[in-house]
Amino acid sequence: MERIAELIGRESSARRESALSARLGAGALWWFGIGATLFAVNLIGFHLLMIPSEPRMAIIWPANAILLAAFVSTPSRHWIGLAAVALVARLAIVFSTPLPVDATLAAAAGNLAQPLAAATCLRYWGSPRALFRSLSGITAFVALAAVAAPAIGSVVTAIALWMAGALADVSQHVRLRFVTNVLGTLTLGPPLILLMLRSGPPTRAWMSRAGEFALLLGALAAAERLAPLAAEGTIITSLLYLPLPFLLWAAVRYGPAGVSLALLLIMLLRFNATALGSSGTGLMPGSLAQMQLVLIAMALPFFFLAALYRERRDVEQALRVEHERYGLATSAGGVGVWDWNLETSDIYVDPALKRLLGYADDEIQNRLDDWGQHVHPDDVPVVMSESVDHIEGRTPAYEVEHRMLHRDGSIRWFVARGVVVERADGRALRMIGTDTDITERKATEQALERAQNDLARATRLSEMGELAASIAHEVNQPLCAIVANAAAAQRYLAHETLDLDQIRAALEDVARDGKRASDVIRRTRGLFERRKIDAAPLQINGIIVDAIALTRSAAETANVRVKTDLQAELPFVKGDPVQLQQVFVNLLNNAVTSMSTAVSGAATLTIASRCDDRTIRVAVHDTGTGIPFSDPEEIFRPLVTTKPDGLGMGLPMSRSIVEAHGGHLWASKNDGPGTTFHVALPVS
Amino acid sequence: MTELTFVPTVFIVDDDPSVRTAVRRLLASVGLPSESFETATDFLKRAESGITGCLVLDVRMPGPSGLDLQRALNAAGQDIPIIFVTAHADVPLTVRAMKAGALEVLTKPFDDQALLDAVYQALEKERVRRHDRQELHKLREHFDMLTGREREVMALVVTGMLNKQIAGELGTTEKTIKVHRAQVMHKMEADSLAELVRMADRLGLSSGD
Repeated sequence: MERIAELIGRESSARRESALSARLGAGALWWFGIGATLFAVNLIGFHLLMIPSEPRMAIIWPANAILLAAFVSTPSRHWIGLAAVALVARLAIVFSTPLPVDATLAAAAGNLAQPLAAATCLRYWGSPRALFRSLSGITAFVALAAVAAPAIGSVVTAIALWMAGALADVSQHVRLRFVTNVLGTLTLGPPLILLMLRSGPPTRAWMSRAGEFALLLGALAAAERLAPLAAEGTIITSLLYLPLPFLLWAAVRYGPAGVSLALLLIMLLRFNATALGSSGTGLMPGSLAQMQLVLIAMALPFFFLAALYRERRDVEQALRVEHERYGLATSAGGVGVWDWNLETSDIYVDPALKRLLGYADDEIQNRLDDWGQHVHPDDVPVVMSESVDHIEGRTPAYEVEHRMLHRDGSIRWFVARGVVVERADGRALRMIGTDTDITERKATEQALERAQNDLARATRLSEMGELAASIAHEVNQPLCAIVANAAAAQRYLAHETLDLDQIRAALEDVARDGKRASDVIRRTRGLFERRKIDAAPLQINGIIVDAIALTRSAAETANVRVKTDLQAELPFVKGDPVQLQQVFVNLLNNAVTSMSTAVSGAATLTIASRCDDRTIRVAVHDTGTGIPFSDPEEIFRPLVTTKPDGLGMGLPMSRSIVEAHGGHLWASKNDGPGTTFHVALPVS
Repeated sequence: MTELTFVPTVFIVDDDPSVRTAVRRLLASVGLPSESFETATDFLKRAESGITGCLVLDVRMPGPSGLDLQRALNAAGQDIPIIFVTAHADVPLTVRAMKAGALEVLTKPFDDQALLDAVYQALEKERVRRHDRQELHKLREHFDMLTGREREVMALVVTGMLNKQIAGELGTTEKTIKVHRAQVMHKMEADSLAELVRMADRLGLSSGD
């Protein structure tokens, strides 16, 4: 359960993340905040980051990175507003700098072009969240946002400035501006984009990571400051590589954004040291432009390394979650996986599978012969033949239910399913599959089967018992009369004066009742014989009319009205008129009986005949008490009756007669009270 | 003597004509008069005109069953002894019949002697009951002949009171009571006080107050 909760927690925390813009919407505060920030960083750019040499150029230009992050993290419908805010913030600088107005406007327009181009390209690449977590993402970011967009922006700005007349050497300006913009995007782009996409307060884990990151930056700053002092100006070039360990640290622990921030710190320190000469040791010989190029070249591999490392960790994480899910699913379902190398007879067996048999992972070797020893000896042949059938391509998959031996000596049922996954030259090399513990299902199935057998046997016994009872009743009546007559005759014989008339009458009755008893037995046997039909073409309506006449007195006694709805000129049916008449007399009698106990007056019996599609259909509809069973078929079972003195043989016999005529007899419950019996007979 | 007018008859109710005839013949062979009926309804009609004897009754019949007839007779206060016969006896049925007062339940085909024994037993039971009824009838006739005063005296005598106490109770002399008492003993045809007490008991005179 804990593992499940953990998995769910992991999912929902990912869902809780939402973009900064979504949180603030198009709120005025957000717009104002962006504007003020841009104004401030423009000021910083103009006053603090300018390289103190001609031509004037900042070492990095943070405003572009901020705009890029803002564009990336907001829906494109807000981009016009964002661009307007950026222009306003930029124009506000006009009054605080010595630059001419037209040149400022031109530079502003050019600077706007870079983040817009970058954001547009990245939007087409995909989700900004995935930018710094994969090799393809970091490649897109570097190629589009950090190289292509600065190139476009630099050219546009240079042309605008040249047209404004504020520029003499266009190509030099393009080169300087390009490098500055690349460095700006690399150092500030990733952290700002991630910051704007973040939401929610910092977590404890985030705080401790921030602490480590502060340590990293502190150590980096110390190294940058102290190394030149320790080196005493000797092997200065080797100190060029001083930041590498820190960049590696940042890349592994903090991803591309960490590399960015470390790079930013190095750059600012060296800018400070070199341009303003505060350290005075000349760590970085050459121009600041050279320093920019060296830093870019040094940092780029770390961006790729960081993204690759992040990607790998994400994959591992996804794999672990997948593995946990799989583990949960399989352990809950009593399932284990196996992977059989058919060449070497090695077979990887899921430890969960071994656990199902009561063994630890190392107690059963991953060899086919060792694993096979745990298969029930009686089932080894079928397991082998089924697997060979599949390996040799005769079956689309391997599936067999078999027994396995548990460590405690008990027998567990498994269903094994597998499929060959590798073939070479028509030969199977490897088969993968699962074993599922079905012991409980098997036990249930067996119990069910036993219960069904018991029930069937009990039903047979009870049916036979009832039949025997009803036969006994029929036979006992004449036997009773025989015994009584015989006793009476004996007593008359003991009288002094013989009453021969009485004795003769008694013996005659004995003979008659004896014959009657034997008739009962013969009739009972007849119930179970298949009757021969004396088939002749006949009109079913005539049979029905005769049956109604035969049951008229019963219907009148029970106060039942009999209605007929017979279709004229029906085709002939081939059959035995006496037997079919017996069927209808039986159905009519049943209907009358069912209505004699119903409310009097409402009792109507309707008998209708129709012909459709070579079949004659007769329906006997009553408004009686109906069938007391949920399944109308129940009343066709022998010895089932709803009448107090019924034998329960009428309907089964009627059905067997109709079926002997190639027809069907069935019952259906009416929507209202009562039942309808249907007879369908084929046209001859 | 009224006992001579008692002609016990065995009544048979069974839907099977062979069984009816055979049982009547068996009873006739030992000199027992019988009447038979096909249905319970037919028998109930006959019972209205007064019946004496016993009833041999089939359980399973079309229309009202034997048990239905037993219930109807009980409800009508007709306590004729009943012997059930059935072709298919089961325990619940037997229990129900016996609980409702049946004398015997016989399974067809029954032994002739078993039926006759049951019939004799039933007739004896009926005879005793009839005798008792006649005794009571006679006592009532005697009691009806007593005057009001004599009845009062008898009611007190049977409680064991002495003549003097009775005189005190009724506000008269002991001598008068003595005369009344002799009159009571004579009219009731009682030979002793003990017999008079028994008579009072059968007549249901309360021995108190």
